[in-house]
Amino acid sequence: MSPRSSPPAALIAARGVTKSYFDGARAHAVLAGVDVEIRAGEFVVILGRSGSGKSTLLNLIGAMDTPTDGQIWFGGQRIDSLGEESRTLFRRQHVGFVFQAYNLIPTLTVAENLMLPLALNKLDRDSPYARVRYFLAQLDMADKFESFPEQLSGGEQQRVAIARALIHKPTLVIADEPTGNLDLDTGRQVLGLLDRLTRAEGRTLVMATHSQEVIGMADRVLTLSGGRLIATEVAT
Amino acid sequence: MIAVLARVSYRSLLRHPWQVLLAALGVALGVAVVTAVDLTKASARQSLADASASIVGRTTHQIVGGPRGLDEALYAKLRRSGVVREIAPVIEASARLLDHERQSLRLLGVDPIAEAPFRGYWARIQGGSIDASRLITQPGTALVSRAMLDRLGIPLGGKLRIAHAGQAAVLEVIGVLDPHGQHPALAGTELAVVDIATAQEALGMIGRLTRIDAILESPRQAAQLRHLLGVNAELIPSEAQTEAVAEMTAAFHANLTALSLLALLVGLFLIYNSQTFLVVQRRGEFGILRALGLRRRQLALLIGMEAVALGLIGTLAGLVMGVVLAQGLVGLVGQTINDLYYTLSLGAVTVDSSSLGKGVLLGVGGSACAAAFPAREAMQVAPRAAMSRADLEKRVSGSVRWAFQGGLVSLGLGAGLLLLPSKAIEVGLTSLFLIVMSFALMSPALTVALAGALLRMGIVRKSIALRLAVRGVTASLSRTGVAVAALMLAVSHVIGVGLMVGSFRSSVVDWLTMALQAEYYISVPGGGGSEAGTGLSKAMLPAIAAIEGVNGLSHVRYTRVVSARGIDAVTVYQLNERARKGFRFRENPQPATLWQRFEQAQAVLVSESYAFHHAVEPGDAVSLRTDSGYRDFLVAAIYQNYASDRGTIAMSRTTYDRYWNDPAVSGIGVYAGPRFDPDKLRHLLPKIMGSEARAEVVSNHRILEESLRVFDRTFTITKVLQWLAGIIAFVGVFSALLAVQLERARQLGILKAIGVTPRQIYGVVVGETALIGGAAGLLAVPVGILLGVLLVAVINRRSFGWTMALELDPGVVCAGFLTALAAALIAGIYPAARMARAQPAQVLRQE
Repeated sequence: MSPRSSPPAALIAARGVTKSYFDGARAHAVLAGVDVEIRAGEFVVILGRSGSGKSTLLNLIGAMDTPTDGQIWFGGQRIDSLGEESRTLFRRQHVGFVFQAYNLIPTLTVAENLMLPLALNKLDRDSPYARVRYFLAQLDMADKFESFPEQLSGGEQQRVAIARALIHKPTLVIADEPTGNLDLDTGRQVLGLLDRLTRAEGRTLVMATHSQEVIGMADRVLTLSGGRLIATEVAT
Repeated sequence: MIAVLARVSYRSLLRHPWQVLLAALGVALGVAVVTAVDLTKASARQSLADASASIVGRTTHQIVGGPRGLDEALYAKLRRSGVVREIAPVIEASARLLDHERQSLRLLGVDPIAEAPFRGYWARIQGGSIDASRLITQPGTALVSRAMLDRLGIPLGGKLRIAHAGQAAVLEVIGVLDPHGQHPALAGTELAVVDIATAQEALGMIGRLTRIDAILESPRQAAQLRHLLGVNAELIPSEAQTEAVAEMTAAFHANLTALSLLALLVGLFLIYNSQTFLVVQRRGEFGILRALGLRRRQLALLIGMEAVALGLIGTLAGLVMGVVLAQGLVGLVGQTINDLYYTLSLGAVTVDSSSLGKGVLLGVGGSACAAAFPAREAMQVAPRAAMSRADLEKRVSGSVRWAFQGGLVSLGLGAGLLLLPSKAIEVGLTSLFLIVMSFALMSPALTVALAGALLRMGIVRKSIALRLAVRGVTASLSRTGVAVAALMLAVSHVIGVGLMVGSFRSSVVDWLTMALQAEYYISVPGGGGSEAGTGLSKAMLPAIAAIEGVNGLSHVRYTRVVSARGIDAVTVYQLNERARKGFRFRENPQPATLWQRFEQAQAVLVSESYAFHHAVEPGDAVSLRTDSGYRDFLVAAIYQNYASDRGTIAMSRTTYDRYWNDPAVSGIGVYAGPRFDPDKLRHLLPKIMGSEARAEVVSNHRILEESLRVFDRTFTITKVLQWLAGIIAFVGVFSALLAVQLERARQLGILKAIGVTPRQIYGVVVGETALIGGAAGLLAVPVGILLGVLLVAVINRRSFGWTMALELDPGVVCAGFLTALAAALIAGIYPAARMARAQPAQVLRQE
């Protein structure tokens, strides 16, 4: 399928996206000609086995990486051809990430981890800590303001990571297996929180997961297999 | 099992090629510096021993006379007496080679007929193709050592132009002492052997001998000989001569040892640094192996095998580097020994097995010991915790307090040792080592304290990037702590040694400026002027005093006198009022009565070094052998003198003339008025001296300049060692920063993912490195100053007996601090660039 060059109506569009990794001269395609469109405010789940290309697709949509071939559009702007600096600034402003391994900065306190996106986006001018306290209260973690990540449980760390992903009001939230390291109950709580906060503020959420339970919460489910999109279902 | 473990090690290390390379380089550099210094010292010691042996040979005793040497008639008398069968006359002096700048040789005048039993190479000459009798039949001929001939590039039949004590002479080289270089004692010796008559003529010692060598078979024979000699000469064992030569450089070597110990300390830290990184980096892997059932001792075996293998590779490279480095250091040490002590050539490094053994012990043993600490850590924790980096840092943070307390104990021990009433240099060195080590142990805690203070500063509180940088240092203390300690050690070494050399130089300048009261000095060119029977004639003094513009004269005689303690240097002064102002005394005695006692009451002065080495105080007596037997001289005061580290006795000319028959002087001070013309003096001098002897007229400024040139040459090796320690620390910091940044790749990847730009990443990494460098620099300032104080007040005092004031040069201190900062910043460039370039998706995927 050859990529079209007119801007799409959707918030995010991947057209004919291929990502290959090279082992010497041999190319190994992790994604092969994937077409996806995601509307603003949508909660999209990407399902698939390990190695199906879920994380790679998220990295490309989130401008963490560039495709080997194809186009990626965000809000009518192509982001696959942006340089390193521009992609960084794009991510800073428009994307919030939630990782499986939480990925909080261990040398910063909970409050400082939340301050980080605000500071990067220069949103820390007017009473930034009020916003941090508000978010922590939402997470029921007001007492963890000065704690370091290592002093928190896995569930608490992931809740802070969700707050960090949302605090600067990004258009898009990307979550890569956010419950992968958590037990069932905690995972459920974290998913509920993520769904509630993104929908409450009208954010677009794209989540990669193995979990069938998430499907019930999503607006749409995409299934990847062997680097190809094999099914798109609208959740009922 | 071992094969599988070996494969695990091999492949894991292959995955970290840079870390492995830096660890091996760390070991190699540490081993190289220590081996090079040790080889240099061993080569210098061996060359001195060889040179001494080549002169002393099988001689058991030496017959020596007063400052003018011996009358050659004494030799004839001894021969006739039949008391000793094996005796040989000797003239020995150091002479300058006129065609080779800054090179000299030892001239040995012997009797070819009597020589055979004494020096080993002579037997070969007699059995070989050289006709030694040509030395007698052809005046002005010489046999020289093969090493010297090769170095100077002179063919057989070539000429050697030499100068000694104002005398110039030409020697024709007619043979080689050891044609095939087979005599080890001659390998490093610049030796020319001539007939006794040629030596007398060349040195202006007609009718005189330096000494008579003897091979005595029994104490009874010695007693008989002493009886025969009476008060005219002294019989001393030949070891006294050999020991005197060895003692000459002992203090210099002690100082070199102090500096190499500091380099060793930095080297040990680097080895510890490198090994710790390699082990700590793989804690996760070790945790998995433990989780799979690997026993603790099997893990210890694995880590130990790796450490020994890596240590061995680094050590082999270090030994090669050490031998190459030693070649360069030997030249510097050789120059210093020639400048200050003895005519000697240190051409090639003697690669002795004990120096190499020390290198192997340091490299392999040090690597194994260094790996033992983190290995013990990895072994003792539970498998899950072994995989956790946070757990490690928590443990390290906990041990920071212990290290600090250990540092305090080490500081207390070091300070306690200093208070011991000991003059032993070893005690001083141990104390220095403990004190420096104590600050290294305390540096992680001090770094944490500094980081805490920074975090309370407004600018850091406002900037997350700065907070990240500061917290990054304290959060990775297992790496950064050692890096700060290593850099602090190296920079304090730079500051301490810089302050010591600066203080020493400034003291020498002060002393020379004060001591050189006369405007011009007349001395004999080509050194000498102090050996038996040589020097200028006192008869020339009135003629010089009569030259227009000359306001006054003083003169000095440098000589060596047999004393109850061995052979002492004696400086004989004829001083005028101005010349007396050139003396600075230790305990401010009353100058008027002092000079009166010095001139009229046979009192002597002793230099600080002499007083220190011989434990002499004012009021004590020194016993010297005069022409009429031993006599005690009262010590009136101790004076400052940096000319010799073995010390000297100062005596008035009146006293000297009363007890010794030696009319010569070694130098004359000319106190010039406004109408004095030095060129006129130079023009008139040959006429005044009335012989072929030459003298030179040198201004006090020139002497000061030349003295400082020698001083700076002496400390070149110190600077080289300083730089080597700096390079070692730089490699340590580079390897630490690389390890820290590589380990923080995930953290930096997250930062990039959430929108931190490459430039900001650069800022965070550079901020961290600046903090490491700044902390090391700040800590190095007080430690460096303390080190300077210890080197000046303890090591120099106990090595040489010199006192000097510490000059706190702000330039040296600032340069040290900036060196630490610059080294850390430069070391941080590569890791920063690497992290800034890395793609976040790739970094997070790899992690």
